[in-house]
Amino acid sequence: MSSKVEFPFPFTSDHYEYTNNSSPLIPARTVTVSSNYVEEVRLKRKLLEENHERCYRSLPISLESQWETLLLVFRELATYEPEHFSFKRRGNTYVFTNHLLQEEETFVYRDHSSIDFEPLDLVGRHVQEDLIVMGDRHDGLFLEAGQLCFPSNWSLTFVLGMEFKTIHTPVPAIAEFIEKVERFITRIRPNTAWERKNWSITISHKLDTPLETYSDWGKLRYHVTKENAGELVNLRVEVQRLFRLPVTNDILFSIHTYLLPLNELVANDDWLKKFYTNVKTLPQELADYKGISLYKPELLGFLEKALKRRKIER
Amino acid sequence: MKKALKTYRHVLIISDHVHRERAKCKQRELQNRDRFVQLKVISQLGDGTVEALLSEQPIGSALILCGEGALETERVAVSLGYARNDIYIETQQQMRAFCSQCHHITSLVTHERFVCENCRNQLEPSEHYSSYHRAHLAYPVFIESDD
Ligand code: HEM
Ligand SMILES: [Zn+2]
Repeated sequence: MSSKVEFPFPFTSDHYEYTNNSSPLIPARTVTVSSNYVEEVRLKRKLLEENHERCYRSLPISLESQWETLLLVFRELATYEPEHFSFKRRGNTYVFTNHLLQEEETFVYRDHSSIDFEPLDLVGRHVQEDLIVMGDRHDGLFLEAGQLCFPSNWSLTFVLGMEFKTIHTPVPAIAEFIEKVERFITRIRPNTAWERKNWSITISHKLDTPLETYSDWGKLRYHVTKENAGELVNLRVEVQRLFRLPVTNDILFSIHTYLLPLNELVANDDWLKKFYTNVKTLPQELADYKGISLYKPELLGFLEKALKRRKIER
Repeated sequence: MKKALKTYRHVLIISDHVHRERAKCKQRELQNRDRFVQLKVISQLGDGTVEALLSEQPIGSALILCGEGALETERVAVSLGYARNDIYIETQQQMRAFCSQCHHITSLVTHERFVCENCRNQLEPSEHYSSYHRAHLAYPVFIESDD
């Protein structure tokens, strides 16, 4: 499949607002294998190798949910992608085979000595998604473990142990909305999954944009021109899924990140028009938050030229 | 520039009653690092009762003032020969700032831009607070001419 065909275009209307744009996902899946699988999994592992502290964090309280996640995701892969993965049990021992990478993982369930990494850190090395375990405690949802290689300008280390609402403090004018979202999450039933899309913009085709390296990649925002936007600017979409783990009752939050260079985006008239109107009507504080304000005139200029070329009315 | 408090061998803390717990906490923190820390609690800073105590301190010791009237006591200390850089005024709003670039935590007296003690990046503290780290996230300050 070409990357354009599978790109999860996020805009449904012609303006942007906070909505709980989550919908139930049937079957209840937590991960997707895309055409970039091998390349992205390799990149994830390289980042984990080089910056383990930045990309993987956990609290001991999360271990049960981590094991649950490991079984869940390996089972899911084998069930829905049997040509690429298989998962078998021999007595107490499980064997997961990744045919795409020609690898095998053998482990005894809940026996830490049988694996080289923590369970979440292990299973995350076989999927493109970033994986977050949110502990559902009586006083809120807490970020208790995460393997995060491709964040959009946030720090896993900083938010470790934090509660869902306060994690969202930096997002402008989100307080009331995010309380509702939290109530929605606490009502998610065991074994069911919900999916939503979140978008932003990345300058250059770079998936790993953690806050920790902002001074490296953030400066590219000053280099956008009407001429180079088609190549340099990428629409970044996160497909986020929430899944209620049935045993521990915690929430597994997965994030699959896709990038689409504007040159490819503008080849689709409907996408071009929707993207243009969304950027144009984006409130100032959100444009600031998403880092778009620095090059918004150049970006709109590029899109307007494309609209004109394709004879689309604004 | 002020040095980190842990670099002083000898520290005197003067606090009023209101800030006593905070001052004790500071004392314990520094004592745990094997520093000599004397704590003096008085009813009101700036009432002129600490001159003798101030002049007894060894040269190069740090002075921490906790409470209303700290500026008055600071003036007294400076007139007795203390360097302003060795005087630390603890206000109620002291902040621990979490460096988003290297994860080091710096204690701040003011909430203004500062330089991370560890990675030397220029940072700006924010409202984003972690009750797990007990610190505010500090974002890098972007210098436009950087390339
Ligand atoms: C349960 C797992 C979730 C976690 C761990 C999480 C975490 C985060 C983090 C770390 C950020 C970036 C904040 C920053 O700038 O520092 C963020 C942004 C945001 N989150 Fe969440 N989130 C979760 C679920 C949700 C859900 C279910 C919704 C909405 C239905 C949501 C809505 C948003 C929005 C609107 C933003 C701003 C994104 C942007 O404009 O680019 N989050 N989230
Ligand atoms: Zn630092």
